[in-house]
Amino acid sequence: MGSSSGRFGAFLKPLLYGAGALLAAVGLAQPVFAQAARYKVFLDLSYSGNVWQTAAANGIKALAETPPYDKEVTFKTVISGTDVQHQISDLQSMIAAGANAILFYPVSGTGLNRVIEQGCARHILMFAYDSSVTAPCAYNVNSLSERYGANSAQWMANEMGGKGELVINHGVAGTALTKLMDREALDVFHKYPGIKIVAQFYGNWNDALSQEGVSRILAAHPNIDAIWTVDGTWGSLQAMMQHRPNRLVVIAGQSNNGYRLLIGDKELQAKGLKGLSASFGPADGPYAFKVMMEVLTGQLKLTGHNIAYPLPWIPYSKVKLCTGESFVNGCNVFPASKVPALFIDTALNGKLLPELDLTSVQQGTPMPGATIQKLPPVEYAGNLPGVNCENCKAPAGWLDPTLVKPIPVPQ
Amino acid sequence: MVPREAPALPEPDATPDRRLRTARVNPELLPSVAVLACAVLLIIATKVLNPGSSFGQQLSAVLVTSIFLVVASFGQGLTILLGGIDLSVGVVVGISAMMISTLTNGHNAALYWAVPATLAFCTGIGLINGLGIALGRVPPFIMTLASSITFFGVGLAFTSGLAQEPVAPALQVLMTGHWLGVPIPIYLIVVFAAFAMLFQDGMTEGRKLYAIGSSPGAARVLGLPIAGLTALAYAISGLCAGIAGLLLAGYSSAATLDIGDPLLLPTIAAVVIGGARVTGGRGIYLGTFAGALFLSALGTVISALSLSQGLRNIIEGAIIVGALLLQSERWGALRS
Repeated sequence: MGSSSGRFGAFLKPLLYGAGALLAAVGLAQPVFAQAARYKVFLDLSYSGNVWQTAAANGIKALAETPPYDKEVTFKTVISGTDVQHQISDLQSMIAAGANAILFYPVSGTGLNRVIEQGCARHILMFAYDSSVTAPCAYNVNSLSERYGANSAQWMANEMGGKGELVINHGVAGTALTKLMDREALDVFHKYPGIKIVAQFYGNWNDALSQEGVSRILAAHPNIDAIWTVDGTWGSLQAMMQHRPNRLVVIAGQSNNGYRLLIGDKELQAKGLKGLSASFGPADGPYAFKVMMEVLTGQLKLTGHNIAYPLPWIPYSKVKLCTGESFVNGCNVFPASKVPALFIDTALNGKLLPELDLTSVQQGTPMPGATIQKLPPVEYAGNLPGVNCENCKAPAGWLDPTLVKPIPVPQ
Repeated sequence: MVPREAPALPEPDATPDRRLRTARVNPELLPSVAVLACAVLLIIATKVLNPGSSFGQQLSAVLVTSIFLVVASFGQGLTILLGGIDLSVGVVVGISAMMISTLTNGHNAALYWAVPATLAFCTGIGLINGLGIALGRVPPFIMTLASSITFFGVGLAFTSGLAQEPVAPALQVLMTGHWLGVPIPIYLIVVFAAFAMLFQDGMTEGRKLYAIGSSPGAARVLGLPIAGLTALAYAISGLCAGIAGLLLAGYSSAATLDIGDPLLLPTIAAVVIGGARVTGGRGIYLGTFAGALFLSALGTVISALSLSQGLRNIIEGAIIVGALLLQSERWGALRS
């Protein structure tokens, strides 16, 4: 028995060694294989040439080249323009090219659903940023449900003491975003009978048009106390500074560097300027990219499909000048000598995107020495029927402000 | 009555031509003055609707915000006078604003060479348009559309859509300052309008453009330099868009590549409302000027009354169609 077992053992030994060597070889080969096979990741932009889109795209490109993603990802950018059909065809090409993940700026909330489902059927991560889609399998990353309209309007109502003449600078007529923000803001303003909306116009989120609009309104309504905007805020304030420099207004809106510098200026504050720099930020694109990459690399498991990018929120008292190239130690505005007035400060986010600095978002290059940092836990967004979901219900009190406590209505 | 199809003779000192000119200009003064009167009525209406406002302030708001249109629509008017159109106006305005920011980088000292360089570049774009149309026989709307797309691309390649430098302070002062209590842009409007009227309706080159627009065949027979004059008209259009871009950059104190986009259609509307014939050969600058002021006054009334964007578009569209209908009616009457 013993001899037979010895013979068997002698026969088995090389076999076991061989199997061991084979397993070791396979075990060694696996990481080599994983390193060689990069993830194919696509970025589909809607429109290049617009300051906002450029800042978001640069941030995403910079992240894709930041270690370790520079070695893990094959990254391609496609510009689809503003035409739905064009974007559908571009997304189809990316799916056919074997994409693992696609990050896209959707030009339509519903028109892309079919192609998105085609991508999901092939287990491709489909992430929409900044705007949203209603396809249930897609992930939306944006600030749409963060109630900019309600929060900024409430902040203004509080600063106005619940009374005064108000101008509304709407965005682009007929867009879902303008409708949603207007509804939220008007719901708050209408609670204060002392706040009179004396004029409204469509500034198209454009500073030159907004400046013209406010100049014209000032000629007809010389006593306005406040201007509510979503964008075109810098232009609106420029008009006030030109035509009524010694009596400024309460104003809420975007995050252009020039605007933040003005609202943080103590001399202007003494002339009545009380500004809020909040609204949406192009950094939601790079943030969406990081979330998508964490899901793709297995570091994050999402339990919902609507992810919130926290609303940037800088009232005039919180404006803090940066000395370097990035938002560190709570600073949130650059000196005028460093960036143009229309640079959008919310292209950066010191907390969620410490890998990006000024040069990254201006030129799309990675910050020297930076490596990708793990994200804090994601926040999920509330339902917005027809915006980020279909056949769904908005949560109770979805028009109520979340960041500001309302003052009582003055008697 | 002299038939309108007859080209005007180029010699300004010839007696028959002087008679011709008088006959041509007079009937066109009426619609121009009517449009101007409508603009004034609109400003008065705003004052009546908002008694708290000051008439002077409103007039100043209308005039200052009209300067971009007053300047850019002069060039547009010349191309329409030839029976063409310039669809590159918006893009050239944007390129001009971006160039002046980039070249001056917030320093007045650079203005003395940056302004001519910017205007030369914009004139060059117009010249390319003109040569493509005159020598290449490319239809004007295709030529100017194609060049606007191309030059937008060039602008984008250099800038990513945003000027990284501030506008020179002197340009900002020019657009926001006052002299003797009157905003400086109002003086600029007066000077520009006087020059534009002198060129279009007083100088030989201007009169030749009418001749080409009325009847290119007859102009050719007469031996007018059609190619040269076409190139000139489009080059002037580029130059005017360039000037409008400089002014807009000064007014906004920051430039983006798409800053001129909202100006393109209003330049065409101002020319049409002012009584110009869209097929060319008719229209005086006073009409275009009145059209620009009217559109600016209309914008002020609409903003002051807070009309919805839909209603605003309906009103603006209806006014343009109305202006065209009025023209055809007048032409019908004249022909009969």
